[in-house]
Amino acid sequence: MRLLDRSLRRLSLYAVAVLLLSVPGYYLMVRSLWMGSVDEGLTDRRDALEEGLARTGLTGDTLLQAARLAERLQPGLVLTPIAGPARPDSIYTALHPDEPGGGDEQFRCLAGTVQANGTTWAVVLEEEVEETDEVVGALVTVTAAFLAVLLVGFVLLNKRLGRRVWRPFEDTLARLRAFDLSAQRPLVPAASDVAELNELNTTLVRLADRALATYREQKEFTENAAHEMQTPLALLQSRMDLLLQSPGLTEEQAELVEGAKRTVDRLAHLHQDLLLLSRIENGQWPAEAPIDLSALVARSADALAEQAALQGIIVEQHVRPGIQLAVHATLAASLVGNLLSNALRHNRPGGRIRIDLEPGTLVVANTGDTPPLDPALLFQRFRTFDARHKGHGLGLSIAKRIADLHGARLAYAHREGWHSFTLSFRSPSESLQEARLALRP
Amino acid sequence: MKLLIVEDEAELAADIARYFSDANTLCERAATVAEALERVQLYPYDCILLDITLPDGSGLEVLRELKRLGRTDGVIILSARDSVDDRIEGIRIGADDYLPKPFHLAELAVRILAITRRNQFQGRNVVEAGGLTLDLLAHTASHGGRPLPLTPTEYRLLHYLVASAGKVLSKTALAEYIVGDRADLLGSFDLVYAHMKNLKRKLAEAGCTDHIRTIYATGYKFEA
Repeated sequence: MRLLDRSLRRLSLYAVAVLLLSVPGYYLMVRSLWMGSVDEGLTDRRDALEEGLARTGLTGDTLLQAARLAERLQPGLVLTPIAGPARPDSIYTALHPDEPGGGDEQFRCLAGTVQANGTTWAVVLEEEVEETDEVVGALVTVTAAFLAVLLVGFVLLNKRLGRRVWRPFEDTLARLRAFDLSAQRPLVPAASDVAELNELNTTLVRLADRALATYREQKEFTENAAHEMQTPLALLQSRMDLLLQSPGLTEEQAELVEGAKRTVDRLAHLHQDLLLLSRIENGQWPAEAPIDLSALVARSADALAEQAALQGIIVEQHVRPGIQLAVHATLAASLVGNLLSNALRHNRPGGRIRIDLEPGTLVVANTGDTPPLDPALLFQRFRTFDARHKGHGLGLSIAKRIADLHGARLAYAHREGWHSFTLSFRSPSESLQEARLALRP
Repeated sequence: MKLLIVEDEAELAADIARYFSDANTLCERAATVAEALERVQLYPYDCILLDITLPDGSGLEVLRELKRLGRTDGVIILSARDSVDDRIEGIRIGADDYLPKPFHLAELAVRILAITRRNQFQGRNVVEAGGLTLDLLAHTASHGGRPLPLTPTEYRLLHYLVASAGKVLSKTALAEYIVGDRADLLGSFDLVYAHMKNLKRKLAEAGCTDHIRTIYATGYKFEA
């Protein structure tokens, strides 16, 4: 869930709760104010009645007649002469029909006494009040209307906020996602006027700069080390070639020299691959014209088949012709060569290798006795799983790096005794299309 | 045949000179751009092995001077494996080949042979050795006028052997020549043995015997 939506949800729930609670609150407050004023009115009416009766100056039966008249003029008024002293007023709510046959209505009643010209009367005064449900209904309607206005406002504001306030954040996120150490370009986040975002950006930039510097140092070290190894290796190799020419070399000596030569050769291959890796990181082999992948795979597979046949390994190839790949020829050859030699190196005698090239995918699968490999470790440098058929451990990481750099995917799977590597790539025209889209502002 | 080795690494230059010097080949050395320029202005060479990174400048300057003088000396650039730009620039200016360091001397021999033949025979890239004739362009071999039925790999092996005639060739170098970068693989020596056996058989069937000698534990040697 997005951060903004999360806060919006919380805010909305809170607003609903507050407004719902406000309904009884309003009701109680409105009722208490209203009842107060109704009660005051009743008391005023009783006082006015007492005063009015006193002002007539009537006594005895005539006063009684005046009382009856007052009863008839004011509905709900009941005057009953009583003996005894004045009683304090009591005010209460009662329900009874307003007119005969009608439904019950709510009335506020005052029962007390009035005294006029020596007579004490018990008096009952009534005032009709609205019923509770009507009041509550009105309050709920008004509240719901405001709630709706509030929520719609929240959503609209949230949308605008999302677009405006969070834009720098999303921009930074996009740049961070596109950040690639090997590209060696500093991270430049969008400027923002929000303090937290600026702080985040500063921290990210510092982090990225440190990572870039470390990466650069490591890369330079690899490059320098590989470069410096070149001349000693060349010398070693030429010395071995010369040593082999010396006359009078005994068989034992010749065997030792050949062994040493083989070792130097391995070292030279390792060195070559290290250089290749550091050159790949440097982007020294930009994709030029697309190469004919079908031809490359077929050629490599044929060469592999020759070598595999000596170990009784059968190479099956299903290569769809005319498939192109937008990768520099050197890198493409390295990628395909590494996958294929890997399939032979980790095979078993009498095993099989299957090479399938379809538009968008190259699958190289081999039989092998090794258990399924851990995909997380597989592409790491100098990681070898099988002590018997040891390569130098750079081949797959080179293949992976080449794939990554060209927007292709190299994945490993193990099924029914087959180890398979799948390269998923886009055709050069698709890549071009994508590059154009990415350039569009 | 005259070779000029332009290489500032004195020991490597000495090794190359030692490997190629024989009754027919004279090797001269230059360690700087200045020395190399002086040499090429004085003498023509059949092949110039040119290192790019020299103490007083780039080997490409020598190549430019050669082209300016309208010379046709063969040029093989020997350079660091990682200087791809130099290689591209070198080939663009007109170098004939490129060999990254480190390399097997036998591999260098194959490249030199290809270039010197082309220059000597006006493009008729033909090598003759021990009654065998190799057409370096058509990739075919014949013996006494009759073509040999060689597979491409067998031809490559023969070419490699002939280029380093008289030298012991290590099976490691041969394996790498045949299978390329996968030479460290199990079975690549078997591949060399298998092809070599077939090659010897085909040569014997054509009546061309006793040229390829097996050197115990090491490899092979072609004797003309």
